[in-house]
Amino acid sequence: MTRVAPIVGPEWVLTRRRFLQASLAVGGATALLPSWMQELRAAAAPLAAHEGVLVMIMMPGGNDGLNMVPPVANSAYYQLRPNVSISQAEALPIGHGLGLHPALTNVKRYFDNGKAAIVQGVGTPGIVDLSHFSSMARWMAGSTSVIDTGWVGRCGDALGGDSLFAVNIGDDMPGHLLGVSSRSTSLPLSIKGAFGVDQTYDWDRREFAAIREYATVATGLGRFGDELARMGRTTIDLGGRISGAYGAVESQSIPVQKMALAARLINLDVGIRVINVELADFDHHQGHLASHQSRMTELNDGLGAFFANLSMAYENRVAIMTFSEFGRRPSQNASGGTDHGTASNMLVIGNRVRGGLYGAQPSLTQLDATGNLVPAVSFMSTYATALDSWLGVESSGVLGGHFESLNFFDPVGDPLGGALGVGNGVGAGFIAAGLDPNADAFANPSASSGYWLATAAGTIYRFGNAPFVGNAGSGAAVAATVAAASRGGLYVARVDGEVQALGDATHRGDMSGVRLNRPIVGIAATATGNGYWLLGGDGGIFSFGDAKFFGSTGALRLNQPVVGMAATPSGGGYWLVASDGGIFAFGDAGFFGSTGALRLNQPVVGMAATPSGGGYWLVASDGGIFAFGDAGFFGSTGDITLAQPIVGMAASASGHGYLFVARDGGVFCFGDAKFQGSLGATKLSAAIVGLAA
Amino acid sequence: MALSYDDAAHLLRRTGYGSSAAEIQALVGIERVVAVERLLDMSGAPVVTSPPEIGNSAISDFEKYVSCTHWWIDRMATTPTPLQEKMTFFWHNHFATSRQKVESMDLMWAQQQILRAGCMGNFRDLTMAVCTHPALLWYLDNTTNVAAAPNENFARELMELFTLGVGNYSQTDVVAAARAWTGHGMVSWSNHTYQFDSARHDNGIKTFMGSSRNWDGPDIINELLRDNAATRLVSARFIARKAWNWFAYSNPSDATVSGVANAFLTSDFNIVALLRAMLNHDDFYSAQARMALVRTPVEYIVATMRSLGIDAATCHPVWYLAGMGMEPFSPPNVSGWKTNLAWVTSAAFWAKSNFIQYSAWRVVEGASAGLANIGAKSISEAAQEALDLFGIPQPCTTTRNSVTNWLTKQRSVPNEGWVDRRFLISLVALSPDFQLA
Repeated sequence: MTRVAPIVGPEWVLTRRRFLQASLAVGGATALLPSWMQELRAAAAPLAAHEGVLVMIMMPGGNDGLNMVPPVANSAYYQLRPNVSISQAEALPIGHGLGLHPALTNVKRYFDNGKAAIVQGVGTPGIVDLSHFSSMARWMAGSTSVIDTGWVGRCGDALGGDSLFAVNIGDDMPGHLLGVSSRSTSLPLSIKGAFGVDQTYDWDRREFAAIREYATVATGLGRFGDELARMGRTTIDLGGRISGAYGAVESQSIPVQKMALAARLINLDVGIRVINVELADFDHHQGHLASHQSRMTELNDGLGAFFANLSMAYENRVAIMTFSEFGRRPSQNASGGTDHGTASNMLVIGNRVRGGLYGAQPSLTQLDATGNLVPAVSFMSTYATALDSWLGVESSGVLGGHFESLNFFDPVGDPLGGALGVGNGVGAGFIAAGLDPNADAFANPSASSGYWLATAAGTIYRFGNAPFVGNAGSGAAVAATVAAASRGGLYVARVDGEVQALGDATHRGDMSGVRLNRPIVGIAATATGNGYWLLGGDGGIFSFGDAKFFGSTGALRLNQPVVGMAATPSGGGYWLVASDGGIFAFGDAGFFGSTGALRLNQPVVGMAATPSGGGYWLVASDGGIFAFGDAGFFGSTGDITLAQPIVGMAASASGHGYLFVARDGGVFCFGDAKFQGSLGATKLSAAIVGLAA
Repeated sequence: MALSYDDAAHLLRRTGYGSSAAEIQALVGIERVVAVERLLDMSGAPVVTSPPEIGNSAISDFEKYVSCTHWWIDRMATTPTPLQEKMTFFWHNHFATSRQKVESMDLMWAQQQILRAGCMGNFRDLTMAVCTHPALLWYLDNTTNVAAAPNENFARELMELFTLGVGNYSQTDVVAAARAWTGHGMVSWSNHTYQFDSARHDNGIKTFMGSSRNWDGPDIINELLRDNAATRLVSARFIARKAWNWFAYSNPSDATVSGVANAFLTSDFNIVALLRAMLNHDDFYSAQARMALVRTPVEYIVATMRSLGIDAATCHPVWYLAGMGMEPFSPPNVSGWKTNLAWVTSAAFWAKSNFIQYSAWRVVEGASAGLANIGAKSISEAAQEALDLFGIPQPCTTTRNSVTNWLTKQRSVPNEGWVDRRFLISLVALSPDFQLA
């Protein structure tokens, strides 16, 4: 298949900026600008190291906390529910006289590893309200009285989040995401053919521009008119930013698809801090056991899909929290179901969660006047904990009062350990002045070399003498890039297997439209300029043009995922590297050593070969370098604290140096690799994922 | 008071599904009370003929859902009495019942006929009819509410969502009402006929609203809406407020609601009396009411179909309704749909844009003559013709400028004449003006 690389008009980018400059020049004070215009000023950026991401799993209808975490050692539980209980034999044992619902195998794994918190007896102390509607409204509001805004929305207000601060996966907008000044985004499960995503044709772009123009100034149609106009504009802009998260999910299960999408959206690093995923109905007044089993299976499968799709870079920065408006009544009803209850159990899961039990299990024998559990912990405390310790905002401001923290979070963990670094005097010292992709502001007149940086969304930035090649257009998220042999262009590989050839690079085919087992993670080009290999995360190799297949790890069971590859100078072989530094050599590629047996501080994220083919370097996410064979060591950032993890590396042409790039576009050069500029101080709309030199 | 142009356009948007410039003009200068009576007159309502799939056990529920939904949407788009369909939908949202749980589109269809027949009749009669029909009883688990252990779901929602509103009853009342409704269900899971099974009914003494006796289910409705003055007043206000929120604007003042509620109460819950009071109310024509509602997804689709003169078979609304956030016969839960800003989402925008692009394709393929001669018109004429077609002849300045600017740019490109008609339809239908009610 031949593709003509579509050029996403610089016009598109510039028009927006010119418009902004013009309107700011006229408007002057921020206070005079409509809220949506202020939002444009704060375009989404990759998250900073200290910013955690919270995934809320909403269980509407009243989740049965008792059967989710059955008190298997408590005889009162079985007396209250002779037919609607989980037996001790069925339950997954977690100690403390408790079990987990048998479907929750993933939760058990996290709990056993100390990464899952169970908050017991969460409810609304002092309020017995068995109504779905007003109970859920209270949970969404984050208030014991029902108010118009939601706690996540007010958190976005406080942190100045843009429309991607909080995202709901679904068609409507749940109340907890509604803020006063911030507006959240609802994203569908599929955006196939969605308006604004494909900007290939002039006539489409012209109409998109006209739709955006509806939101030039206040419409005079009132609040809803302004919101509708703004939503058209926001949505068209959004398409390009998030389309990379959409790809095939090999499951018919809607919860699994939603959770996979949630993880992929986080991987894009476009500023999302909160994602809401709503599961199906939990209100089982009859046939409770079977229905709840389905919901628990969906929850478990969704968690599995989420962590399978989440990039390693975010594992320490994402936490999952479940919630529901109430639990079920401890005693079963005669329909084989349970009626509306009060307190329930919540799950909090993630690498930085302090696993264990929080709150307290309410008595099953001393019930309230409605036959329900007496809550031990206020739901407000769970929110206060998330706001203070995970989202990084003063909870009392958002919640309108002080609530006890439950301390179930460790600090947000960047792969590099957290605090903002100052760079090594190379990357941070050379801040690019301009903002425009491909702008000449980056050019260094004395440059004898150059490189390109690529974002997940396909924007290409050029530095030094690397020629202008345009952008990679819309499509799935960019996975990796490699320069063509001529250095006059590059190949851009997307996670779904699509390859775009930019500049003088020639397209030789790709895997678009083919269902892949795992997303593409790497690409390497032959020295002739007439072919390339694509690398799947399972070590599968796909060869195109004159690139030949020499073997793969696709059929092996790997300890760690494969993360990168490099070709030998002859084109007669290649190396694959796994995240633990394990090396797999094929064809004429020699094995010169690996870190596979070492215990690394941080995962390996990329590799480069020497020009002779007699050695290679591996780079870890903290910038640590491992040199093998004839590859020399020229320095590393392994001993300094980086603001953002390293995501890729390349060797200098001579082999007497190398450079690597961090997710925020910071560039670090060593040996004879020449620094030509970086994006370290530039607000990017998507993370840097590739370096081609 | 005679209707101005803006008044007429406003009234027609709220009581119907969008009107052409000519239809709006026809009401200008008419006295408000006269115009309202004209819109309340249901004598011209078309006869209801069931889609042929209904009652056919060989046809799947999903196919029935598609045919019933398209049948209903076609009726909305063509009826001379659109208020009847708007009220049917209002009650569908009020007595929310979902086919996701009630696995019988035959029952869902039968419920809709109850709603349509009673949509402008007496509220107590309508409540009684829909509460003694298996669709709602099934949806709220009353089919398994038995004397041995009552299930509270139906009883609670009857008071919380259907008649009184939260806070106007106690948990004791819920328990008593649940016991009163024991035994009201259907013959069996395979025979969906309403049945009162006295063997499963709790004949004990229950204390409901402070009164102790052997209450039966229907007694509860009669108590709430006929015999108890306090709950009658609460209910009249509750329903009047809900109607105001749905047809006029959100969060009306108590003073605004009380006028409408009084008319409703003094007419003994006559729904037409409620509508008459609301549609003649000065606040209904206040600045606060103008452009104060976002068209529901169903209204948006129907308004598009009316503008373009296409039917459901042509534009296939079922493909797009879920994305827009509103599938008829499938409200998200028993409290019905969230409204207005809940539909201003990226997901809904994408669904709307996909729907309108598909519809525009069908028009260009020959499904409608709408804007057929647009190429021969000047830029300003073409823009006005498109705005007229979509019933927004006087849009806001930004919308008019954007449409005109687009036409100017598009016409300056050679050999793209084919773009004008199709894209103009999308552009105008995605304007904020057309998305508002």
